[in-house]
Amino acid sequence: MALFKLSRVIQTRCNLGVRNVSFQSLDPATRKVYSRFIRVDHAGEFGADRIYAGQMAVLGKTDVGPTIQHMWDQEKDHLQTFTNMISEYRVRPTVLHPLWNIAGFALGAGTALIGKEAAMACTVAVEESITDHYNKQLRYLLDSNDKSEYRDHLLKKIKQFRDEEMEHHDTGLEHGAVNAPAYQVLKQTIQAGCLAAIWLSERI
Amino acid sequence: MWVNRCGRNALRTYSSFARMRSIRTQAYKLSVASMSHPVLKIHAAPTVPERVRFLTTEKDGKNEENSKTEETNSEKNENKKEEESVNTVKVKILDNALDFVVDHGWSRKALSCGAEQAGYAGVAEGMFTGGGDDLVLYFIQKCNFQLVEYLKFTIEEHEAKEEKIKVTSFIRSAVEYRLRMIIPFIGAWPQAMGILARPDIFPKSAEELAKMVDDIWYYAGDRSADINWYTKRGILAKLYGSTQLVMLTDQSPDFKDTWEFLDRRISDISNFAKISQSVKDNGSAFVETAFSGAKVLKNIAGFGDTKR
Repeated sequence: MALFKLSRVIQTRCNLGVRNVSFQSLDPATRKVYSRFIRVDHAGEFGADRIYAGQMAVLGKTDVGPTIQHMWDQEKDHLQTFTNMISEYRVRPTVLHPLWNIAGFALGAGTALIGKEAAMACTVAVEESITDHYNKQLRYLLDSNDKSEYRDHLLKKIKQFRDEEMEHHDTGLEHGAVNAPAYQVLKQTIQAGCLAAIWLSERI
Repeated sequence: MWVNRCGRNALRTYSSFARMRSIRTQAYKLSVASMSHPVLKIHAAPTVPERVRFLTTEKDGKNEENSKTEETNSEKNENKKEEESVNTVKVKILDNALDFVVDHGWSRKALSCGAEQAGYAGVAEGMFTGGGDDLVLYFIQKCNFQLVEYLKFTIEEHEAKEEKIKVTSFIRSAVEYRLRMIIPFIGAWPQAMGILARPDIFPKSAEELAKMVDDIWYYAGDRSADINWYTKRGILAKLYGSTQLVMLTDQSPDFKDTWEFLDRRISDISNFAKISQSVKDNGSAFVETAFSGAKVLKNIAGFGDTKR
């Protein structure tokens, strides 16, 4: 029994690749923080994916269709990154996953039904929330003394995603988000919802 | 004035107690975090000296700029060595104590007999503030650790034979292997289950169960990142719990009835999965059945048009 080649098993079956320190053997406090980050970011990108799906369902055939499609493709790529992290690092995903499925699609489709500007306003609100959230995470990671490759990987990916979310925010503004009916109310409501979703997904 | 002085002293004493408590908590957290042996996350008393010590994210014990102590590297290494030697002693006592569980149950008596067998004084069982509870927790952690080794070995075997792993048989063999570890202690196992269900121990035992089912599913190949993560682990935890209960009252030779129960439950689960999949695939058939049922009800109630 003691003859099995442990590292080969890990490489071939469990897709961990060759790492100096496995994620499970990081010290518990760091592992908890990184798991939280990955869990909430996975939930956030999944929510964004569903929001764009809802918007495309309504506005897919209009002239903003290609723009929304482009933003949606980038969100799909972000979601795939975090899904891979959850699988590889054995992070528990959020239990509210089905809720964000329904709520995201409803938000996207609902605002798109109000109008194209409202859909853009929704995009602006959500992307602003996500950018703030990623900035908080980046500040923590930059401040942290951890020197593992996980911190570097997270730092690199979150920075890249933060930049792309900011682009989406600017795109939304370019396409007339501020002209949406009750723009400020819509924006504040959506951002409050995003804050609540982030708080919940970090924990459960 | 005298009252003021009393109040000031009381405040000073209280705040120093609070500080001592927070130092103890931090010291305990550090001692737990630095234990490299996977089976030692039991609620042990802090073993490090009570001085100011802050948890850092560095694993190799390098001095940090934000460390607020004047501790040198050598002192930190010394403390780490001290902790490790204490942990080695604890593991030795716990391992030996398992030999006495059949006679004395999961109790301090078993721990003290184990300590004596390991060559220490019987009063060394005082190292364990939880007594028998620590012994039970150690046992299940040890079993889960051995289970993970077995799972890795099974995967290795399948890789060597170039076979694909069948999930249901993998899980079945994992649950059977894990339950067989209880057999030597089965006389005292109801007591252990009672201890693990107690409210103060339950969070730790639930955590161990969650880790175990997560390990089994991970090595079975599950990489889900949605609600299936929870449903799969919930099903396995229920399966394990029910099979464990059946095993307690099983008198058949080599627990044959228990393994047959396990087979039946696993085939139930896989049938359910197949049925729900086929319902999804044949959604229209389900809808038609539902509509024909509604039509029958309408006829009975008198609103139907009596045409078939």
